[in-house]
Amino acid sequence: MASIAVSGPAKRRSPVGKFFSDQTKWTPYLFVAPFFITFAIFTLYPMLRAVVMGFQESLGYTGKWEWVGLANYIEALTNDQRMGIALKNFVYFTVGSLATQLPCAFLLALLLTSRTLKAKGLWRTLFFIPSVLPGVTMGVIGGWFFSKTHGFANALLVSLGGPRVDWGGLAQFIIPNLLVIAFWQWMGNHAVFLIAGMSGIGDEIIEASIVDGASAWQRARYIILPLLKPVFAYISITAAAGSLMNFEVPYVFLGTGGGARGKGWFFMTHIQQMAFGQFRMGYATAIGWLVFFIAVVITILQLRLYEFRLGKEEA
Amino acid sequence: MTTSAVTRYTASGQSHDARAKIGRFRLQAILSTTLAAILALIFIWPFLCILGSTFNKIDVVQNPISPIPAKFSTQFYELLVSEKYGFQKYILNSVWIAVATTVLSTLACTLSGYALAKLRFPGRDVLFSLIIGVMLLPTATMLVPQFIVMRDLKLVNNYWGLILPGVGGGAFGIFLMRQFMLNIPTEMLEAARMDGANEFTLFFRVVLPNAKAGIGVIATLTLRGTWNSLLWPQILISDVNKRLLMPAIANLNQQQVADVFALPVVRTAAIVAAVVPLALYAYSQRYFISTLAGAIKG
Repeated sequence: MASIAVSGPAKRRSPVGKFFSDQTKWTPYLFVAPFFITFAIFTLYPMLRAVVMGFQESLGYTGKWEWVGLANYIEALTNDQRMGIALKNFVYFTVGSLATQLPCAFLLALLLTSRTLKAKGLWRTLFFIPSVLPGVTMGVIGGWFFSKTHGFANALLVSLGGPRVDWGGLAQFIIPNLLVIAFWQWMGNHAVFLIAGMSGIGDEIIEASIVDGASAWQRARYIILPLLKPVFAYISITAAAGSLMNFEVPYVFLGTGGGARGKGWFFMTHIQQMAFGQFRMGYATAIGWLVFFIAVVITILQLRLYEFRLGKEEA
Repeated sequence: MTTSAVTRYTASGQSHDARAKIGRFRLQAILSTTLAAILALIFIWPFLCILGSTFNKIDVVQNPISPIPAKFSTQFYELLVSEKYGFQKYILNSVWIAVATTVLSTLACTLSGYALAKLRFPGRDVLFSLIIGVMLLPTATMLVPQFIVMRDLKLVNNYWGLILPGVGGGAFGIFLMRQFMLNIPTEMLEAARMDGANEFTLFFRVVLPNAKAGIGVIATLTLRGTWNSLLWPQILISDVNKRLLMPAIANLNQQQVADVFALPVVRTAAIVAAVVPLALYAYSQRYFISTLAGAIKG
């Protein structure tokens, strides 16, 4: 951009001068510049640094680095128990989330769009609310809900004559507990997105199906469900990407030690702990790259699977 | 005689039929509304319970499945802003960061979205594809190198380290804004240009007033995102006095073994932290859902 100065003598205009004398030519670039400048400094440049950092290890917090070659990647892939746990938790958490939330969200969306329902807006709002709350709040509420002594779940169980369960102390409860919190947080959000998708289905299609004598169930199963495919695609892509980046709820709910018997690690909590708990910046960066590629592969697979293209609508 | 009988018959039959229909409709309305109400109540009941527990008196046992405090008091809220916990400081820090980021980021999103939707310039489609690409890239995994760069720029423990990365607006916000801007009639912009408006006047006088709904949505999303975020402010700000609300809650949450009041104070703080996104949602929900739906319709 130093070339602005060249535009000097106004008599014989250089192409650069001409460019800057016509406002409509350069303002578009000025308008999009902030994004690309900040992206270059705060995202692209760190990513380029990260290519090198993945092959290095930081010497404590000093800012000095040591070249270690592929050691970080080899350690992450072959000799890091937490990576295996994080991968397993990611798969269970994603599949579990979608399997529990999507069917319920679809049924809820059908209920909330039923023609006879009163006060539609109120119910939508109530079910949507948990998804706007901070992850920290959801983690704290989860901690209270599953607390052994003062928790909601145990109070309910005991009042029904059941036992007092140590939810936080047993590794097998980690994922189910997180799934309960996630269900609570996201199911209503998914339902609202499905409702929005349903409103895009033309009334003619629905009316034609009524005329043809389709029952409410057939209508839901054979007309509405297939037409909502793009919305399901959107939800599952964002949910999978979101659970790969899952941090706040597990961090607050399980603490920095990875939960009961260290079985509650997720990729982001592992990265955070490696980088800022043990100051292994290089190793944490290498894990970051592995997660990066998992995320890219998942996104591509899902886009293919659903033949769904972003920005298709304006074509 | 016969005709009138027939007429009477059909008329009464019709009205009987219609009444039955209305009756069935009413019954369905009652059933579906009751079902929705019961489900919603189950859904928000635990929230009401934890809200109630924050208004309980210290040392009085509270039934966790009841939303009504055993003995009402605001002691936990007083503790929250007491000298020992000082959450008002963290709340103020968070407000300042969230507002600054939102204003700058929304302005950048609006500018970029407008340029990408309504201005013609060489390379526009390439730039737009780049933004879509960035939107799909999992850049959150680059947390550690981003921190290292911040450290080199001397922006650790500095609020600019939180604000600056958002100054250019986010890829998703720009994408959303562009979809919005497509609805602004090009003739209107051309007319303003004919009248001699320069590109900046055009943007501030014509485009901005016509993009209020979009700006509202992006600002809401950004404000909520900044307010709710934990990880980045947690690693970037270690100075206790500069700490933001979410990291402060997470930190106190980890001290519950050493401090008996930590846990109830954390719960109270978590409730207070939820007020901002809730208020934002209540304010913006009318356009919110329709906008997001518009953006995802594929």
